[in-house]
Amino acid sequence: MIKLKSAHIEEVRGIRKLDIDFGDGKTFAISGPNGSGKSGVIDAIEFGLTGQIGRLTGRGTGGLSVSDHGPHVDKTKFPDAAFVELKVFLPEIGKSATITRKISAPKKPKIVPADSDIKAALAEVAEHPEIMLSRREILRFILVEPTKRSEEIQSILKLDDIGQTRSALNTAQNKLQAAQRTATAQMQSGREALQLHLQIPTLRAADLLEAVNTRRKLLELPEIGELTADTKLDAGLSDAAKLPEFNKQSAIRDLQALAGAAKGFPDLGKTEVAAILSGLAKLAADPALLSALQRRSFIEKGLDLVNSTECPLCDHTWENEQRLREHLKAKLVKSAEARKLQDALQQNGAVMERELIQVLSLLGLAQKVAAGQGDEAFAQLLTGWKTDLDGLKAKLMAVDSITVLKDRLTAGWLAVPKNFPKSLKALTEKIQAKPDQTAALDAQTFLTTAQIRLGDYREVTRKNKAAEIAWSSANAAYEIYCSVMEDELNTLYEDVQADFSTFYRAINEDDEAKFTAKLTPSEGKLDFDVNFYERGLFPPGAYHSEGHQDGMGVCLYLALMKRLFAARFTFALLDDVVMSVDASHRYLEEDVALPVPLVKQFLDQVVVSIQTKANRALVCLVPGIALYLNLHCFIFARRLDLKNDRWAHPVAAKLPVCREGLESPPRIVLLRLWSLRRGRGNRPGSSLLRDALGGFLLLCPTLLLCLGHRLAALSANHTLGGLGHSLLRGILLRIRRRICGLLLRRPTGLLCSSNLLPGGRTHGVASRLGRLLHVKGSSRLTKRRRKIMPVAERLCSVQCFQCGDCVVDAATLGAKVRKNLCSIHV
Amino acid sequence: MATLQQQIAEKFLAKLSESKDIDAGKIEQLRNLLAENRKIKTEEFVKVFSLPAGGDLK
Repeated sequence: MIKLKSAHIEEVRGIRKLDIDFGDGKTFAISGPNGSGKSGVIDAIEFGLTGQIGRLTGRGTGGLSVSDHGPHVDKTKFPDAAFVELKVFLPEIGKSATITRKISAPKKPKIVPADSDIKAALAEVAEHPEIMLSRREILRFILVEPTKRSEEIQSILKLDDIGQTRSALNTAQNKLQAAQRTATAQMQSGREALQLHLQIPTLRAADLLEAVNTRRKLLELPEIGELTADTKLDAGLSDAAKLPEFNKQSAIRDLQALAGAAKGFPDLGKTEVAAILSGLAKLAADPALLSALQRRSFIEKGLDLVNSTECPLCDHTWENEQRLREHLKAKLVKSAEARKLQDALQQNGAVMERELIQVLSLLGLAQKVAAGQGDEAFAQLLTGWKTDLDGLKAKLMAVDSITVLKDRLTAGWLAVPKNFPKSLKALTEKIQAKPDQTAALDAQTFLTTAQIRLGDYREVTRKNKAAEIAWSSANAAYEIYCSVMEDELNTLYEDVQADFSTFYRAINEDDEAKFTAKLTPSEGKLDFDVNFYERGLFPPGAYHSEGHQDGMGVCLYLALMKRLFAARFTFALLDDVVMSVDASHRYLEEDVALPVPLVKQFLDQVVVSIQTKANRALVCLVPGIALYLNLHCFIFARRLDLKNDRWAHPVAAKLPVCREGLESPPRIVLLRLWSLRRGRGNRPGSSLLRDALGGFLLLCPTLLLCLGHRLAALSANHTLGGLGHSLLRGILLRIRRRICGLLLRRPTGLLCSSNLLPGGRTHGVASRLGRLLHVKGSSRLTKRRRKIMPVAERLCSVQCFQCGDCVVDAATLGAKVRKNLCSIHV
Repeated sequence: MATLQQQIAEKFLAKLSESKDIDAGKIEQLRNLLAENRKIKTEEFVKVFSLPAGGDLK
């Protein structure tokens, strides 16, 4: 996948400037106390690779963004100054590259060399922010509700695309089904119009031909023996096209049919109208529901339009398209009640739409008659009414437009024009008053009208057939896609389940060697149960300890990653994750831990942040006095030897890196005497009394500080009980606070060391500092000072933590060491 | 390695070919859509399923 060789970070998150050399792309741990910038390093690397910072996106991060909160807190107005430069090796193409990404342009990294294969490889990495796992994220797999777990796991496995395809297929089949219903209603209307004209009870070919042949016989035209798709009912009529369409009896029947239907208009769709009005009343009584419904429709439209990281609804740019979709989907889920109401409104609207199609068909017939008879006023009335009803039909098909129909539905949804009954009656009477057509003309116009209506019917039947085929195809495709998807997901979950159980057993083999787990997918949910010491399957949060649960999170993450990337899962960023693994089930060395046996199964390189005790660097001012600096400014990159399940050599492999420009400067937290005797007193907890007696330069405040600190620590660590404890602690803390206040006004100390026993703790600290305080040569040091050679010979310069400009060179440093180093601030 | 999306698409198309509910022309159009490996919009599916049987030649 990728190997990280080095990182240069500037003004990103809590880091002002930092260089980390990952050597040949091996596993490293970034260790340090709280606030030292471990997670900042992980964030920066994640940003460099993906353009995203996981902790600033996703659930619970409302109001946070990479652009606003990615830069260092003092550089928020200068996002251009915040950038990450990563040197990487891409094993699959055998090339190295440098990727530089600015916070101000997260989507436009500068890649050198800009080869297309390098760009493609880095683009693929950028699409996988899941290579980074933080502690707060692991529980999302374990303790969340089944529905949320399903969403999270679908998200991490990139199942969103599959879900999106399924959803699009479903929406397509719903739309086509609605279209098919409309086509059926139109076909029904066409059939009724034809039957009305032919005066036949059913539309059977025999009945049709009988009605037609009766007229044809009268006109001495050959009878039609068989009704085919090409059959013309008026075939043989001379100048059929010039004949009037008006057929008196047919026109009267059309108008009477409309008049008959009009009697039922007051009750037409009464049930559906009542249901819609009830829904609208509910909306009026609950503005929040209305708001949710309005937003739902809005958001659904937006979701359909999403095709980039820019929200189509508000133009806000998201980290990625997936996040945007998740955000919109979450909003839709919240409005479940609104969804029910929406469905009910849509269903009732659909019934009314079909009824409208019937009415419109009758109005169309009457409108033709009116126009043919020169009744312009009535024709215009009917045309206007039809237009109005067409508009209503369109509104009934969309929920957001139904919600504005309350007045229309209350007043009578068909909105029958005032003059309609009178005009209809007048036209009917006018036609009835006309002299009867001759038998020949009646037969001729009967046949021409029959042919027109048969043509119309054939057309709507063809459309209905096409709509049926379209819907049936879409439905079949949707069903098959769901079936295939379900099979594949079940296989996937079975694989994940098996891997998860294997991994968990690997780190808990001492007490849970028979551990098993069960992932059960169901309708939008993913239930997760684990075996609790062979007592049965229970949810992970039921009986397992917090540590075990965290361990499960890591194991499930690794199992998912294995499924997602298979053998290509070779790189991961783990932020504060390994400490969450149950303490008795992790690999321990010094203060750090990593489930090595587990991780090494896949990964070539891990960069992991690990919390350690507060690093107090030993600082020697003069022989006999030492300072402890609380090294919040230091984080340590340590190399892990995966082959041997151990951290590489504890000293040589630790690459100390300094996080510059802390929000607050390093502070002297303890000044205490230090024994120069080899092997003694190199532990903060060693005898204070011995140190005190051995010291001869002890200042009073310093002693008080020591005592205060020591006793406060004792009071905290040992049970003194009740009031005594509280009083002593209160008094001591006040003393310590007072003395600290005094001391903190002084310059902070210079980093140096004494008692540098190879392999000892002090030596380790000194070695960590050595990288920072690198020196060439030590000739200036006296013989006595050679005791501090292991450090001193590395010293070359010391850079001020506070201003960054005060760099002390080796010569100056030597002189200062010989004098009193406390005057140099670092 | 084929993604899960691609695996599902392949099996989906294979099963569709066995189905009598959808003609070969539409399956081919679906294959082209899915091969583009991007998010497919509802309207694109509607267009494919609404094609006349046997293609869109008139």
